[in-house]
Amino acid sequence: MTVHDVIESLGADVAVEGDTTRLVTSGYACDLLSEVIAKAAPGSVWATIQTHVNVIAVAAMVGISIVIVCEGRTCESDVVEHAAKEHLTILYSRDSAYTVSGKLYVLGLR
Amino acid sequence: MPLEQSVEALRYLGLFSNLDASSVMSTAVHALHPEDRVAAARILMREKSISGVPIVDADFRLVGLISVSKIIEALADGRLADSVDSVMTRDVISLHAHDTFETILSCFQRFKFGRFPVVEEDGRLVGMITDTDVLSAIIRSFYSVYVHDQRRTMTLGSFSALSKEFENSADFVYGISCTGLENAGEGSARLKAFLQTKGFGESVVRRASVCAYEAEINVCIHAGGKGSLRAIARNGEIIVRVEDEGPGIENIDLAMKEGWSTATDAIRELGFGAGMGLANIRRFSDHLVIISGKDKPTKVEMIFLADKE
Amino acid sequence: MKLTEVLEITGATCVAGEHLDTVEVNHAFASDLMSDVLAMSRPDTLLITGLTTPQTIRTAQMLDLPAILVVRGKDVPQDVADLARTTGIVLLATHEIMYVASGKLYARGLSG
Ligand SMILES: Nc1ncnc2c1ncn2[C@@H]1O[C@H](COP(=O)(O)OP(=O)(O)OP(=O)(O)O)[C@@H](O)[C@H]1O
Ligand SMILES: [Mg+2]
Repeated sequence: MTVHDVIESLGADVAVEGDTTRLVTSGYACDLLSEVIAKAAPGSVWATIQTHVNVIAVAAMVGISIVIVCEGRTCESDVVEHAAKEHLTILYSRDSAYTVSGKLYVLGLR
Repeated sequence: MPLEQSVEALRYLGLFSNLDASSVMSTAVHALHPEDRVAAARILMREKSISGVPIVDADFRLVGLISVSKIIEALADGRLADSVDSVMTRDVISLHAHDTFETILSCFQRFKFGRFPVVEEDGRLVGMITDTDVLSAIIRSFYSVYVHDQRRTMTLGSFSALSKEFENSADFVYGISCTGLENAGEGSARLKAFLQTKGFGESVVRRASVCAYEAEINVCIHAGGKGSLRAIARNGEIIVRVEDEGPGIENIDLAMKEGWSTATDAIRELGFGAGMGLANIRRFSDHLVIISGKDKPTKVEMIFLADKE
Repeated sequence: MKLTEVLEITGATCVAGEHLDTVEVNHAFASDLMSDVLAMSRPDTLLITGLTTPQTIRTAQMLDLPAILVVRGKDVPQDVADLARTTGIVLLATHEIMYVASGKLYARGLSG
């Protein structure tokens, strides 16, 4: 599954698009940054409700392929700009992290 | 509406309960000593565009005040080279740093001067209050009060910002005292148990408990953990008030914004700091008043109507 | 969905509470931030979280949630388990990460 496939199948809004041909390897749902740093695998889709600028720093550090901001939340423009510089994809979803995880899991991202 | 009436209305709303002279005054004050010359006062007034200069002794204690009219008199009499001492007013009407906003207003109403020096207990000058300072304090206080009401039909006459009933009695009282987060939330848990004994419906009890919990947690993570949680539960409504001892919220409109938070990463690791607490409180309460300010206590009062269900 | 099924699907163990076959949840919500959880107002919801502080239990208590599933193999401190017991909230714990636990439950029909 690629970044492009995830965007297509979730129907979420794209806040900023990075490398869409990149392979997505697994999913991680978490709102604690230290936990993501310690445990999320590179290439993961990360579902969270955090919109803090530190999210981008952590995502870049771990090598996250997509950040999905859940529950209809949106990031401030400086956060989006920062993500663009890191070639990160950010999606906005109306769904909760539970539902986003569920949908991706059912799509085969295990 | 004449100014006095507007001020009366605002006072009624409890908007000024947090304001005292020390928070209204400006502290960038220019003063002279009695031995300085009148000419120096004239230059100071012109350069700083001020209409009165306080006169202080060597210990900064207020001894007099020289106003524009005194300068004009001195100019007419050719006494610009004399010492300030010889022309200044000696019985100055001054305010104390802890005087209430009411006292300040009545001072302006009674004496018709444009400015009042503010002194400490020992007579030391600490600031000046002009009518402009009063006006900007009024404007600032709008940023330190948040009123949200779904029953927007209420008028000033039938509504005051904070319920007076808490002054006499509360049905539920809990002292918040918390270092770190260890027992944060206990007060709200007790409140919930108390409300359940009062025969309120499940859903209004849930709303009140959730909001009390958010406010209690805020006291623990943002305000040093010392405060109180009180409630009145009668006549089909639950009124909850949570108060702390500061440091207060400088701009409440900003704090109300979902996602806005001053929480540290350490707090976020403990599961708080998403900036959603106040937004939740607004969503789940039927009436909400927050009164705070920089270096002020924060008071959050919420009303929940049982018949809303 | 009965909590016994939640246990079986996620390979969780029960840390506090009993009679899991009598407790039913109709929704699930996954989050590590308590105010995010508090924004939701559906009592028949399973809370999935990696946070194991007393405030996790308090949050569930305020919302009348019947059960919490702790994920990421987090150790549940004794005082937190005790608080769950005294407040009558069922506490389950699994080694699965939040994403996988959510995915498996969703796939088996537990809606968000
Ligand atoms: N009692 C208080 N004293 C001082 N500042 C407060 C108080 N309550 C709230 N604030 C300020 O308002 C901001 C927003 O509060 P709010 O409860 O909405 O979010 P939060 O506490 O930061 O995060 P969350 O509630 O999601 O855990 C806080 O970050 C803090 O700066
Ligand atoms: Mg809060």
